[in-house]
Amino acid sequence: MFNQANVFRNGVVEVPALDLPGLDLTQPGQKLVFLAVAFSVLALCVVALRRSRLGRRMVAMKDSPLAGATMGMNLTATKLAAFSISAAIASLAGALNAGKVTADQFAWENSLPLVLLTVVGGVAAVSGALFGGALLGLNTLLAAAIPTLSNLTKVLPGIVGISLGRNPDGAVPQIEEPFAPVGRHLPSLVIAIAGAIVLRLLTGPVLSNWSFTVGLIVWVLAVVPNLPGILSGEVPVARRVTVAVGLAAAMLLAAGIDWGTVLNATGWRLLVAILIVAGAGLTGRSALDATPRAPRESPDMIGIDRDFSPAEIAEVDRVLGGVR
Amino acid sequence: MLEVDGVTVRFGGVVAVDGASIEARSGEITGLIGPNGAGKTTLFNVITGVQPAAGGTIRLDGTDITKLATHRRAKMGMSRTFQRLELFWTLTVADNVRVAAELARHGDPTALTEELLDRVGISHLAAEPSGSLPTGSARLVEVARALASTPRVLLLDEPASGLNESETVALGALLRQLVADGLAVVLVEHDMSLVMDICDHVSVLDLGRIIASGPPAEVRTQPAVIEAYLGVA
Repeated sequence: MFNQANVFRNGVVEVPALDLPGLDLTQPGQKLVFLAVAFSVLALCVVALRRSRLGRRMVAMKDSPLAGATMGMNLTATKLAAFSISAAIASLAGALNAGKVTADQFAWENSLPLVLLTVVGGVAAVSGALFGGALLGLNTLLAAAIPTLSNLTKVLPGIVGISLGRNPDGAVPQIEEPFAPVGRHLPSLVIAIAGAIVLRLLTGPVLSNWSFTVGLIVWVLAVVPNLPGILSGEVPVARRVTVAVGLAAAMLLAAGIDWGTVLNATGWRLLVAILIVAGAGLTGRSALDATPRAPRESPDMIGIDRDFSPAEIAEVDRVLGGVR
Repeated sequence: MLEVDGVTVRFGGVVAVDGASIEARSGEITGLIGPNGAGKTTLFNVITGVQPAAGGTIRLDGTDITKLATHRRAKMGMSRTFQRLELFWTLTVADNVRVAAELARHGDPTALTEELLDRVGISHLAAEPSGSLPTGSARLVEVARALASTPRVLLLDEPASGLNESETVALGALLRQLVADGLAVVLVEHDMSLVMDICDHVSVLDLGRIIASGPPAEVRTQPAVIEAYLGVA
């Protein structure tokens, strides 16, 4: 469709930026904030839809179309609604995608990583789309910053897709897990937000932009999930103090170093940022395990509740006639 | 109320249901029994329109519904449960029932959901994700969900398998109450004591054919039935 001459006349279409009073959306900073707000508003709409009658019906249809139909659900109409809403959201995103738009941006191969990374994020969660989009953006950034890795970044979405085998629900439900107790504990929530605001206020007079970024990553991923455990809970006080001091040291290190001057190539900064995200994420999960996670059953182990005994293995060998 | 007349289903060359006729009347429980693979679930699939019929007619209140889409039959007052559970696994127990109540558009879905969960005896599970339930409770959710679509004909495919003895007795009592209010129930069940206790009428299906039909006490003594079940005349 996009290759038709009447859609893209010379292969390029100039889409003017949205003209809103008081906003200049040709400026990258303003555009970013505007798009973030637009995404959040849409996300809230999708969450509202998910909790509505129609949303429940769509989830039910995904789980069992057979049962849905026998309860009186018109599957064709429900699917049509789901695809229409998706198309409406996608077209809004397309309209906001101002600037030079070319036909080959819409080549079918380009949609593959988009779909794959959305599924990796988690299609059942609204934040899955954000996570998938961030992964895609990061991949593009990495490819541009470190040209040596260009071969790797081409196959990276595919490699990430392999993780779906173990975790078919996507990454987001797993990422959200450590944050759930924070939402239920008001003091932690207040401190989490206050900490982020303090970091922002210190940026400029005290901190550089890079220090703010790294500090915020460590704050959100490592410190915040541990707040409920430090402030209350069954863990002994001595252990809580140790963890608190450790996390405070990590925060000082993260925000104290002026990463912009220490690392002077964008590629290095990106790599270090990724390492810090990974490290902080792991710390956030394990530093203070006040809320034990539900054990996840490995798909390989379903139906097996213990190891086989030597006698049972011998019996299997005998039945199979010593094939092994 | 529901009349199934000479219905045939073929899978390729295999005749799964061969000219079967059953009838479900308002205020009665009709048992449908037979050995494994006799075609009981296939017959349910044809009645609900999940599987097309190769021959015969299905009538609901005298209207021919043989070619009608599944959801239209549901709107006409037909509902069912599944032998292989078909819950909306990612929804809570209450939302499973609620979806059906909302589709039925009879009164307030919230009130109907609460009432049915209570009636089936699983109100304490309302907020649980249905995917985490043991089989017995999941079957009861299926029954509550089927009732939420306010059916006049209810097809139950082995609702008691996975239930313990007291739950089975409670289910039998609930079904008797429901037919007393005018519902027509078709019950496929392997628990013979339940079938013999609560059914008004029993049909026996073997290799896709109805081989016997009548009151439970009569059907159980017929030689053809004993042969189909035990393999001796």
